[in-house]
Amino acid sequence: MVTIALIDDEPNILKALKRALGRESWHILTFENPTVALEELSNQKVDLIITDYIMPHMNGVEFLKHFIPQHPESLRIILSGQADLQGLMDAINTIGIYRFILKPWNDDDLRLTIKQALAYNQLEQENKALLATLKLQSNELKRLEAESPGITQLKLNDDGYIDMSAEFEEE
Amino acid sequence: MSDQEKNEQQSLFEGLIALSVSSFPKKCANCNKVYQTADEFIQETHRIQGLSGLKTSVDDDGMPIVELFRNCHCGSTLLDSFQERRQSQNYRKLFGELLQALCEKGLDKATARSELVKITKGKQAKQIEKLGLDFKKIILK
Repeated sequence: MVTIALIDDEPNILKALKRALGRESWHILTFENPTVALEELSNQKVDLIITDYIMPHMNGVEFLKHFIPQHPESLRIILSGQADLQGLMDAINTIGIYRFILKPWNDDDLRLTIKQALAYNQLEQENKALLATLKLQSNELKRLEAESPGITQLKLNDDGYIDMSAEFEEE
Repeated sequence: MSDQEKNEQQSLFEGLIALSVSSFPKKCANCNKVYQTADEFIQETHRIQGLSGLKTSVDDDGMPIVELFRNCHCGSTLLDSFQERRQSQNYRKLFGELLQALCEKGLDKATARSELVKITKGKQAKQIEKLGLDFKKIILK
């Protein structure tokens, strides 16, 4: 099941978010305190994190700077009512987030954004897995070529056998 | 106490509990500023991006509500929910019924009103408790 963690110091906003996302079959975790969230999420798989920006103890960007090393593959969304966006946007660009959403959000848009984010993340993970496989195969081919030069250039005939006819061609 | 009286008392308590569900006074977790009433909350906070900050939704019981997002002076976003007009009318009706019930129990109208307002703000209502109506015990049951 997809796990989504919500961090906001305003309990009513957490309740509203839970109501908005409650229709989906997502496991929702809520935290009013970013420090507690870091502690409790440290050993949990989190697919998506949605955090407020202005919070006591640490702001949303500082929170994500601590959270990212714990969960490098989790997608990140900042949900804020902050009017002065420039400083926030600069900070966001340094840590990399999937989306920035202004409060108040539209419930349908938020659900759609999350679905797109999860699909995007799945694709990213699949691409990473394929790339890792490709790298392994490429390394193996290099090893074989170093061990037996020319082995990677061998061609199979239609029956699946190694075609060595060129070896017997008259010069 | 007869069963009828017990039922009446239970219904009165349920009404009191319903009225006491209120988020005021409301405190900003970021700067600890306290807003005593909804009016104070609206007057002393700021719009977000110059917009109304209003959003319609439904509460956990499926009742329509209006959510109001406002920025505290510290910049933190606060949210309070308000009942839809029809539901507010139900609350007013409930308030009226409770007022009448308390007057029948011997309180004058002004005191009964003041006591009910205390309950809606989550405060102690000594006059109601003097009548033997300790709704905290009912909540614990």
